[in-house]
Parts: sequence; structure tokens; C-alpha cells
Amino acid sequence: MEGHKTGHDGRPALTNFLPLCRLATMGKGPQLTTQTLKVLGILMNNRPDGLPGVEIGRATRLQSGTLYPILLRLEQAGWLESYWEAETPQELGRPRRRFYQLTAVGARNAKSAIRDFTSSIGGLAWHRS
Amino acid sequence: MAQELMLAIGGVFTAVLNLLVGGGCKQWILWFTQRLLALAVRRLPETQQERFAEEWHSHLNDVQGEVRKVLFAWGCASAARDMAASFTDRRTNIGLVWKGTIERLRAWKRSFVNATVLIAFEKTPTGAMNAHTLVLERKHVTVGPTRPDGKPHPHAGKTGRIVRFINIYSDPQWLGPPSAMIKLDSPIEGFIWVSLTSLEVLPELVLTAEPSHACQWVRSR
Repeated sequence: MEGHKTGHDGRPALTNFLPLCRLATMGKGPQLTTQTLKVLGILMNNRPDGLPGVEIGRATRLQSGTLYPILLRLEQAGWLESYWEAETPQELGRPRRRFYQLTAVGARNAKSAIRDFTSSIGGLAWHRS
Repeated sequence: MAQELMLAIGGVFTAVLNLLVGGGCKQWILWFTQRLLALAVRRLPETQQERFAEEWHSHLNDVQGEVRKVLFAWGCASAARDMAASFTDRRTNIGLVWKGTIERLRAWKRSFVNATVLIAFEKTPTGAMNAHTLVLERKHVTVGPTRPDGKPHPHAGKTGRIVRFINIYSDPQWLGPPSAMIKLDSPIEGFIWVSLTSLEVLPELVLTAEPSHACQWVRSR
């Protein structure tokens, strides 16, 4: 079916300008900085039930101003999920911690991203040698 | 005036020093840290405030050392603004695999249309049809090889040369989740374009589903 050449008011319709195209979304994946890869690496190599922010921060040496936006972006992208400790603060004797763990999609993407990163580093090293 | 200002600054400095030297340091740092965390939490959307207040207080509880506590709270306060933006920024970026000439896209930029609703039909491998709705607001569409932030566009289509960057405005309140969240791997079967002279009519258009605007159906192949 061919598109109309004019709009309802006789003026050129948009189809005159955008006749044939295909959309490909860029996706809303998280930006994979080295800090993000550090976070992903720590989560991949640790307990499957996840880690609290404080332990991720200690392991990656990231400050709160860097760490929490990364965790939030990864969570919004569906790479991470988070949950509160089951016990109450009274039972724990301290405030509850929120644990972060990789989702299945996140684990797959993280593995791929880290592999790509390490292979690119390897490639650079190869070219330099 | 300048002398009074200097006196005031000196007074505050002396008071802070007195607190530090006089053993009030710990209480003052605790108070300051709590204030910073409260500020950080206030910067977040209301729906997130309770969660991050509890989470950050829990994290703060595990931080050793007074200076580190202040730095932690300071970091939260500076991060909260960016974090808040991630909840409210509805603009999404998509790459348009462009088979026409860039001149045509520029012509659209020059046309009378202020916004265009694009409903793209994607045929999945199973034969089902998915519809993706996007709103292209002309003022948000830029034509060029780079993103508005000046970085090169990272996406390259499977078949297409391109990639010309366009910035797509997609508002989930109007049109459901941003379509750009969905990766379109399958070829687009066709489009419906609804050209709008004003974006203000869009909510009405979506509610009534009876567009009184130019509407065309185009097959992409």
C-alpha cells in the first residue's frame, strides 16, 4: 500500500519526507563505564543472594556518590534487583541492609560486557607489543 | 560592609573550630551528616525517599570514622540529583536507520509539523505483530551524526548505513512505557504517522483515539 502524498489539508504529509525507514532502538542499557564493570564483576563473583551497598562499596572502592547512581541505573535497566533483609532492625540490632543481586538478564549481559572489555584490553596489549 | 562580612565568616569559622577543639566535634559531625543525608533524600522523588533514607542510614551505620561518614553523606547528596533525574527523564534516544537522504529528514525539520506520532509495526519471528508507539517532537529531533552531547552514536543498524541520530520524546504517561526500551530486531512492517501541529492535542488524541489529523499508512517494503 502506498502512502498518501498529502495530508488532510493538502499540505505535504510526513510520508513524503520519511518514506522508507526502519527503526532500531539504541536501547536503554546502562552506560558501561569501568566503575560499572567493577560493580558487575563484584556481583558476579560473590554470593548468589547478593551483596549490600556497603560491601559493594568496600570491594570496588567506589564512593557513595558514584556507587548508588550505578546501582540505580543497573536496577532500572533490569540488570539488578534489590531486596531488604528479611529480619527486622530490632532482630538485627542495626538498620536493615538492602541487598543487590544480578538478574538472569544482568548476569548474561554482565558476562558479555566484561568479556568484551577484557578482550579489548587484550587487543590493545597485542597491538602495542 | 566587607568588614562585617569578614567578621561574620570569621565568627562562623571560630565557632566551628571551637566545636572541633572543644569536644563537640562528634555531635557536630553527626548533626551535619544527618543534615546532608536529609538533603540527599529530599532531592529524590517522593516514591523513593523512604527506601533510600533507610538504605543510606544503614550504609552510614557501617562506615567507620567521622570524616568518612561526612564524605559518604556528601556523596549521597551530590548523587541524589542525578538519581532523581533518572526517574523523571523521559527522553529516550533511538537511532533511525535511514534509507532516504538526510535532506528529507531536514525537510521534516523545516515542515509545519511540530510533532509526529509514529506507530511502527514489527513482525516478530513467530509471526505476531508488535506495535511500538513513539512521539517525535520536532524541537527534540536533531539531525546529525552525533548525539546532542557530542558523542558519536554507538548504534549501527544491521543492514543500514547510517546512523543519523534523532532524539525521540516518549512520555509513558501518554503512551505507555517508552518504546525505545524495546529493542526492535525484526524488520518494521509498516508505519502509521499522525502529524500534529501542536503537541498539546496529544493527550486528547490518545484518549479519544479518533485523530483528526493527517494519518497515513505506509509499508516499508
